[in-house]
Amino acid sequence: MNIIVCVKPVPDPDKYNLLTIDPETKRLVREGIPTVINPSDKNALEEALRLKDLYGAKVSVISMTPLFSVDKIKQCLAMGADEGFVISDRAFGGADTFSTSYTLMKAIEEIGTPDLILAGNESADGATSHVPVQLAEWMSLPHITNVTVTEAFETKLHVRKKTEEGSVDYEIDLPAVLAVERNSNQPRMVTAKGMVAARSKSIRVFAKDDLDVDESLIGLCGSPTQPGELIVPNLKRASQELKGEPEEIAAQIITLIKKSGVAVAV
Amino acid sequence: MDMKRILVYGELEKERLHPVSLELLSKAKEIFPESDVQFGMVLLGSGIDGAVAEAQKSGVDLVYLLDDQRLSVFHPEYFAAALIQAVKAFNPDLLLMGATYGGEELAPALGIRLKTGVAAHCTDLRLTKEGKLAQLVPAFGGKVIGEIFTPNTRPQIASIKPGMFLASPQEDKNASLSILDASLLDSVSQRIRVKGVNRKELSSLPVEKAEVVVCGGYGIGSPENWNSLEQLAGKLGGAVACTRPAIDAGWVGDESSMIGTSGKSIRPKVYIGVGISGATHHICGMKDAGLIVSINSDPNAECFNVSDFKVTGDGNLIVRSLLEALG
Ligand SMILES: Cc1cc2nc3c(=O)[nH]c(=O)nc-3n(C[C@H](O)[C@H](O)[C@H](O)COP(=O)(O)OP(=O)(O)OC[C@H]3O[C@@H](n4cnc5c(N)ncnc54)[C@H](O)[C@@H]3O)c2cc1C
Ligand SMILES: Nc1ncnc2c1ncn2[C@@H]1O[C@H](COP(=O)(O)O)[C@@H](O)[C@H]1O
Repeated sequence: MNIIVCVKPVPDPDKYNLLTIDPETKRLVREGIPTVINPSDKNALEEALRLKDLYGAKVSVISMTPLFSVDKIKQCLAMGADEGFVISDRAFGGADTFSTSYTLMKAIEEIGTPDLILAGNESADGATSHVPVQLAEWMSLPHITNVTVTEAFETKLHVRKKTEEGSVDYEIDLPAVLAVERNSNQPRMVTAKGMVAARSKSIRVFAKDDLDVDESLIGLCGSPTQPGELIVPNLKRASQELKGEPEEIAAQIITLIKKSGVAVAV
Repeated sequence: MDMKRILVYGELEKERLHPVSLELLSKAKEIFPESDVQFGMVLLGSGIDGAVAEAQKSGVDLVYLLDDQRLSVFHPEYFAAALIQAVKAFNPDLLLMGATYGGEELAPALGIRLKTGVAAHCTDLRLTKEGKLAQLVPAFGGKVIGEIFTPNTRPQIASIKPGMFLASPQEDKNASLSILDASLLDSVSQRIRVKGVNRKELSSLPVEKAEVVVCGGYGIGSPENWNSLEQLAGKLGGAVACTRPAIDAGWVGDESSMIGTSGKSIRPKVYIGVGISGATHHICGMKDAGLIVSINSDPNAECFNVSDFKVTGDGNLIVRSLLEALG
């Protein structure tokens, strides 16, 4: 089985409180925020590696990302992926999910359609949950998102999709695209052995000219959605301190609740 | 570009209209009050007469319906095919969809099939001075909100989480009903097959319906303390909510009461947060609460900035005192 895992390096989501917008340029200031592998992509990779351990598979990771985050792809190789693909070119910059997924599709065409494509369910920065579905649609493959459980058979998978009411179980024919939920498994750690093994694994870089792309569908210009202004919402409230012994504070809180128009029986 | 027709995807909840459908319609009517804008709603399901009646009275001009056994459970391919049919029939300039587990999968699929832009998880929709529709989307866990425009392709598609907008009463337009041709489902590929539905027990008072929400975070510290928090919510006639780490710690069974970017957006009259640091991922789900009280042992906790009242101290002590006071 050939599996491709879509991976996106993102600014560390634990540090988003530190983000600001430059009042002059109106651009995001993300200084001091390190880049990490998007959390749910690690779950997608773990799912792939689990299938590899069980049934044998070749696991590739693919990412459309600036070259400076190639070390994150190395990290995936150290976790156990077999090879990496990075799509990087200025011409791809500013892509929305429509043109990102188009570009990923073109690169995967170049690599060869695998039996299974796994992605994280959402990226921490954009968090649209679009790319896995849109990649599948470009490739005319079936897709299921919010996947928590996967079980593989010869030519099909059994998967569980989380829903409002609980979950739904599906059988899906391969090749297919699945978007894996965060916390659906425990991603393995990078070991020293894994790091050594990663050194001899290849990472292939695709620039625009390496891919058979329609220029009207890539980058900012090829994106049907266009960004406008960025705003940091001001959510500040009075933050008045309630003081006293716990009993006194409790009494004050109950008074506040009542004042808000909620009936409390005391 | 002119806005002539707006289509709302009528999300269902147990064969009835999901509140998000009316929330989206209300928002659209608020932005485009002109009488020449046509509103449509599309309903896809099985045995949904109740929802159809609700939709016809909801204030739209036209309801599209496909009532078919194959739509009884969400199926990415059947639903996308049926929804496309409604879009082709109505030819909307704007398609609004609830960002539910189903809607979130359909919206981007339609974006590719119709070669158009999709704005995900909009927190607001508004017209610019030039009359363009700005879709406001959160990025970086809601820390930043960005305007998104879809200048050249139609329909533009926007997904919105339940609870983002308020549903307001609309004038009944006694909408006519247009039945979609079920045979369109016959040609859908059989690559995905539903094998079973697992229903979890839903709590009697979901967080999004409660007037008082007591929300616990990692600072609660133990299952015993979590128990007290649940008791407190019960005594206040409200619901318990949580942050992600409270689920990871195993104090909460599932995500249905998680508040934030990947959870629910709520606007209760009162929100009391206990042992919550105030990560932007969480804040964006509770910022619209009427009254916000936060209890945290760290005097510099981020959550205090977005609170009307703050208590610096051991949250579990305060919870205990509240329980005693409420008897
Ligand atoms: C892509 C992504 C999506 C996410 N989506 C969500 C989401 O939807 N919702 C969500 O909640 N999180 C979400 N998160 C996680 C989020 O980033 C934060 O990690 C989380 O909100 C923090 O939860 P917390 O405040 O309970 O825990 P912590 O950040 O660990 O804070 C615990 C707080 O408790 C205080 N405390 C400790 N002991 C006590 C005590 N005895 N009394 C009072 N206070 C005490 C501490 O001072 C601290 O401030 C997401 C993360 C990512 C990456
Ligand atoms: N630039 C990218 N390169 C590779 N994979 C991506 C990229 N953007 C998104 N993905 C994948 O799509 C998932 C969902 O991302 P998003 O649609 O941005 O929420 C991510 O978790 C990744 O697995």
